[in-house]
Amino acid sequence: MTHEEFRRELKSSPEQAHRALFESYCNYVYTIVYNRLRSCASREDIEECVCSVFADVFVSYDTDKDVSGDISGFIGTVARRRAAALYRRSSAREPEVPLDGEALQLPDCAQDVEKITDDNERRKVLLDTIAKLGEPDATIIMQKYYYGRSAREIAKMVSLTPENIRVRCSRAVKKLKAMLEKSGISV
Amino acid sequence: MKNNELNLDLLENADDNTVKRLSAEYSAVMDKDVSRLYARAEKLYDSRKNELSYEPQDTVSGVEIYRRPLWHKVLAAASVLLLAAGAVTGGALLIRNFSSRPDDTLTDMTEPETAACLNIAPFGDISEARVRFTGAAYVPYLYEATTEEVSELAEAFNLAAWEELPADTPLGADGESALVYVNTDGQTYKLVFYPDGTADCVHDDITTKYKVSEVAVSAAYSAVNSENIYGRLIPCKIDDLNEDGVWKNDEVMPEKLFEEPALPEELEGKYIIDNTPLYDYAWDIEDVRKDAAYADNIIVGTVDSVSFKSHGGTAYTAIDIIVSEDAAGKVSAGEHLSLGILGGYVPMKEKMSDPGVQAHASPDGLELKDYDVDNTYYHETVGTGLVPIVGREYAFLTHSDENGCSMVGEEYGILYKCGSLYISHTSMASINEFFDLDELSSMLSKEDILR
Repeated sequence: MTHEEFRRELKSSPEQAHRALFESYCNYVYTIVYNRLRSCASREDIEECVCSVFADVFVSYDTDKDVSGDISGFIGTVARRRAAALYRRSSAREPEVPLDGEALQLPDCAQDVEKITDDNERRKVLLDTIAKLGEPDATIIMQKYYYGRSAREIAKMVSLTPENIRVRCSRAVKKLKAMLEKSGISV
Repeated sequence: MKNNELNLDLLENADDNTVKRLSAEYSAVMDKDVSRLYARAEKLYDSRKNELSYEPQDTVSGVEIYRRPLWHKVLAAASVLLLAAGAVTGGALLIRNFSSRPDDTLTDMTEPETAACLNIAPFGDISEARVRFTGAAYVPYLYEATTEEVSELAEAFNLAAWEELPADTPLGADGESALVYVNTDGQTYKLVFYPDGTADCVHDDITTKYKVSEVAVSAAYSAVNSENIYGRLIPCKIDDLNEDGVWKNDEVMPEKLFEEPALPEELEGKYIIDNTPLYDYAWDIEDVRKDAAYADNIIVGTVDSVSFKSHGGTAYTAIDIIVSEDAAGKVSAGEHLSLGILGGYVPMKEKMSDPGVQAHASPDGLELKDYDVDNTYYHETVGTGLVPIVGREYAFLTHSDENGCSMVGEEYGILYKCGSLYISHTSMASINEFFDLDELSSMLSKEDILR
């Protein structure tokens, strides 16, 4: 969705515009927030943060501002800032975590840049390898081990029985580990 | 790790490309949850919208309804929009577009140097000047150019042609602008470069418009969008983002304004239980204006030490300061003062009268041993749990009565002194407000107005 489309929809029906925006970007926002908070916040907190992001977007969207192009940049920025704020609060009492959550991403020396580049490359290889498993195994792996969903929930997503999910998952993990080992990635 | 376990932590806190890929390839939200989440988002939106339009009623008393200042939200929204429109898609594209634009008649990098020098910038050579920049991604912060950066910019400005345009020339300023502030021998200039190759030069409140060669515009945009700005940002009040105001403050914003307190030595080896007690406040203590309204003095001082105390089962953090100055003239410079805020460490034995503590400490109902009670402490986190940094200077909002001087607004009544500005402390790390001391003083004792 573009800024122009959203503004046009807002003029005719704000509620429909909100709904359309939410449906278009719910998955995107959830992914951003979950990616940042996966290890330090509960699913309820993550969901609340996602809802807050959209509330922020709805409240703060300035219809008079002549901004054009894809709206995802704006929404992504709000989501990252919200998630960073919650991350900071969630990890405020963890001494091993730097106080400034944002600082984690600031490449302030060559070594950091090297590590960030290396991590990005490893993530790409990991996702490529998971994708090579094919469907539904890739989805099963991601939903179980990244999103932490139960076999019953995954079963509904891929139209299989929970038993099937467990069996396929076990096989897929072994296969994935073997494939990753060849790429030098240990998970 | 078991053979059938898999650790995908590597995917956390990932770069934008990975996040976009995750979003495109895998469902993060189950279909059944979309409507529920949307309903919740709308509910939050309604409540925030109402906060924006809420006007205090005379008949309400006793309880302050939480309401952030409107401009605060507007500023946040504006900065987010600027970030989205500018930082994400703007600057780099604009600069790239410039470099390939064929119809810029003033753009002539190959112009003979003698001819270019005749077109020296209207404010002269800036090689020896002080220069500061700001851009959409980090306004209202500025950064000051190093000698090398000034030289580079001066060279570009001196090479460029500056063609004065009629004052009523409409600027095709569609997109992010680049702001450059120049201070040369006390003469100050604000230069606003636009993507269409025009620029405003503001000097002595008079604005002159120019058509400028690409070499200067590109140099300005490159400097404003520099990646080398971390650790160099100087806070500036929005009202001061003009040719004279930007020079008021010289101090760089530190990496942190407050810090996580270390575990006191005497508690090392003790059993510490984290606790987050709930406190009700009569007003929104995160709002500096309200804290100031209930305060009657601002004491500026350097933190000498931070320690933890407890009394009657309540934990306090004692902040000892050496006074520099105060707004009301009640304390003297050099005087030592101890101010307390809630939170810190409290021994279990002080809390044993609390049935909740007993139940938590001994769920099986067995009597606790003295050894356990004596060696167990509660770490009570109130607010962010952060404390002022020893050796740094802060402004403390205080109130005096017959019992002496006490803090107002807990940790949020403490503002970091950064040069001439005082920076508010907030649990939402992304939004800090800047005040000068006069502004803070003018907000004191306005309790009646808030009712």
